[in-house]
Amino acid sequence: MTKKILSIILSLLMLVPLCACEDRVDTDDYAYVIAIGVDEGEDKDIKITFSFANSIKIGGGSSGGGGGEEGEEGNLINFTISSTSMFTGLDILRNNISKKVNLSHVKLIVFSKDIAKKGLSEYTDGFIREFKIRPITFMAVAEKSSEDYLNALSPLMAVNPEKYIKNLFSRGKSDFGAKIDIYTFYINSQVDDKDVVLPMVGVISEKEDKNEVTNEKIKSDSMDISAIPLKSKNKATIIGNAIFKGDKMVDAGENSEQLFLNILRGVAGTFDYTVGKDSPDQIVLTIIQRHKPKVYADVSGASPKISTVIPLECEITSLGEGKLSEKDYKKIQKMLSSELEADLKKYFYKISREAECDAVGYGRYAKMSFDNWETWKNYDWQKRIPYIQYDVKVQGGILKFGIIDEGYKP
Amino acid sequence: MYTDRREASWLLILMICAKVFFTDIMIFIHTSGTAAYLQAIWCIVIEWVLFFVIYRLFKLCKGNDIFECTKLSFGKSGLIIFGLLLFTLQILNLGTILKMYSETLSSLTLTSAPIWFLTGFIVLCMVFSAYSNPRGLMGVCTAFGIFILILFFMILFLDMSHYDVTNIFPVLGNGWEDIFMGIKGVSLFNDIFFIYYLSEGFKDKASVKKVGIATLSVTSFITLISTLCYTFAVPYPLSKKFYMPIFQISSDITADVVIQRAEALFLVMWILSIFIYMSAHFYFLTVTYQKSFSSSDRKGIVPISILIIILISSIYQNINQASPVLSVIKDITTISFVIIPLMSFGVGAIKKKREDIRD
Repeated sequence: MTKKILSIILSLLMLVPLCACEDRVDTDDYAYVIAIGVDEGEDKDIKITFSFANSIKIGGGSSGGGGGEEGEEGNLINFTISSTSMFTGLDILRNNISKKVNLSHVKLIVFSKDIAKKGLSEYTDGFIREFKIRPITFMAVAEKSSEDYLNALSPLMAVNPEKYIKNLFSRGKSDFGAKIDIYTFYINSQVDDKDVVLPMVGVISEKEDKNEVTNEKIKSDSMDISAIPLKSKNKATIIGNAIFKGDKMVDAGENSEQLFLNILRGVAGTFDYTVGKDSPDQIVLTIIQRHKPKVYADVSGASPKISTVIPLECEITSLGEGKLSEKDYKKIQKMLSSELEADLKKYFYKISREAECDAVGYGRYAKMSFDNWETWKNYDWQKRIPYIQYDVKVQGGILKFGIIDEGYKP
Repeated sequence: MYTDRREASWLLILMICAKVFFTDIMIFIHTSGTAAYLQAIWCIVIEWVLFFVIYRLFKLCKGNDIFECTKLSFGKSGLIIFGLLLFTLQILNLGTILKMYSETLSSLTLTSAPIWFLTGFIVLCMVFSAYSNPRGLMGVCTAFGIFILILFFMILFLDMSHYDVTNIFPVLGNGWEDIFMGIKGVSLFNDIFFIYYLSEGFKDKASVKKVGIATLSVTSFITLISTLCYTFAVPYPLSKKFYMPIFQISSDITADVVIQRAEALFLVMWILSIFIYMSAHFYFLTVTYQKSFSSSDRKGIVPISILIIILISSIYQNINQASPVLSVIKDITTISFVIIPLMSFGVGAIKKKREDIRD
């Protein structure tokens, strides 16, 4: 009996250290970082901007800007410091704020273009090793300065800035921005059969912020976001893409090009596309990409040959003022195939021949033709990218016509 | 002492799974690259063959466990020599792996806690298992086994969105030679040897075969699926960089806001398994001592063994020092765990056959 009592007491005593409450911290003792910006500083330092969630403002239920308005605090409070690295920068920051800095809610890390061109692996390597930042944190490149972007960031119609950033940068919410997290960037930057594209963010200057919409400014189908006049409190926006080779940025692209990249990768989902751009028969199609493209890679010659077949399902959204009707769906399909194929080919040659990148990841298919790692390494896929002979076939089937059919007779 | 077949199977399964969840499948990645799963299949085939060969000899042998058979084959002095070898290997293995587990636990969980705090918990578990009835340990294994496997498959399932089948190309990885010469991977299944410790408690010798088949079936599947999923999730050569593959898979999980970064799932599963592993291994160490030196008291060796294990673990400054030593210990253990039963059961079977002929 004594033994049993002693065992129970010992077990209870052992339970006490298990709950580990000695280093507990209350929720409102934390300062939650939502976004981080990294710019080049003086000498070998970097300038780090930490965007904190303003819990007092958020708790009050108001949506509002970041540090954009003078004299008024928004939902985000920004601190910018100079340091040798991000984590040492946090130590400097702790001397200024009373709360304990918490990085577990960081949703976005923005690097300036200059830093991106030098390479991001030293930063992503640290993030992957560190448990404080989640591997699913989004990454972006700032066209000029990440500090300016974060200062201009003004979450509208959103009380919670973390949710705002997550919705802005996550897949499906925006067709024109790449959605890459730290883990995906790290993996793709370390392998040689695929390169990565990050969204490029920037601040719309006062010059571009027009009061009126003018036809000359808007290009009919290029969807050039930066050319669309915006009258908005939030000047910070996604303006294009940053193309990477390994961990270094080598080129930039327009917003519309991300759609083509998504189509080639097979992750475009649902999008709208206009055919007959140069004719009066402009037709808007809603296209659904349900299946991944079929890719055939032939690496037997000196130049690799890649051919891809992209099946798409289409629905006629708008017929425009031309003479085409739903009955001419075969003609419309042919127009879609030829125009989209031309756009995709033009985009692919831009990234492969100008940027020398394999953003689509055709290297993974080329790799299948090799027996072992040695022969694949000797083939040196990265050097062959500019010489790829590319062929793309779009199989667009118009399956739906909507609820209007002018020629329908019951 | 009667040993239940199901409980024995779960004990051995979790001992092997503890190594799979830790870092042992990295041997396939480092050796064969993208063909790691092929090397895993090859090692699994070899292990099955070895098991059936050794079992066949055991069946023909007169003794009920490895110690009895060794004594019958080589006499008392032979038993002592084998016992010394096994005891030394086990104690070195325990000391080294205690260091690795404590350091890894500290890196993943209680980062600000001193290493001795974590080592203390593991040591406490080992001491309890040595002093208590082994049925308790086996009962714990049976109770937690399904739970651990469910967590494991949850982790693999939740990360499916990140799997890329093209990561297994080139098909032969680093080449045919590396796959075939990579039989070192058999060390993953070393713990199946302890079935011949437990065989004394089984109803009959056929139970050894049933327990062995059950253990090897489950662990072979888990080894293969872990290797394959890790290869799908992390492309080579980046896959060589990560220390704990299943942890890496769990870290990558994103199921929208519902489940993100499911390292907690991995930690629960892994911590349970390492405690069971260390406890079981220490229990078998005491059995080795008792049976090899014909001691009446198994528990007498516990305090001094614990002290030696702790001292061995404190020799290593960090994991980088302990890891190469563990690799050597594993290789020697693998060879010993094959040769000792082959010799003991083989000679025992020959002697029995001669006796039968004489009769």
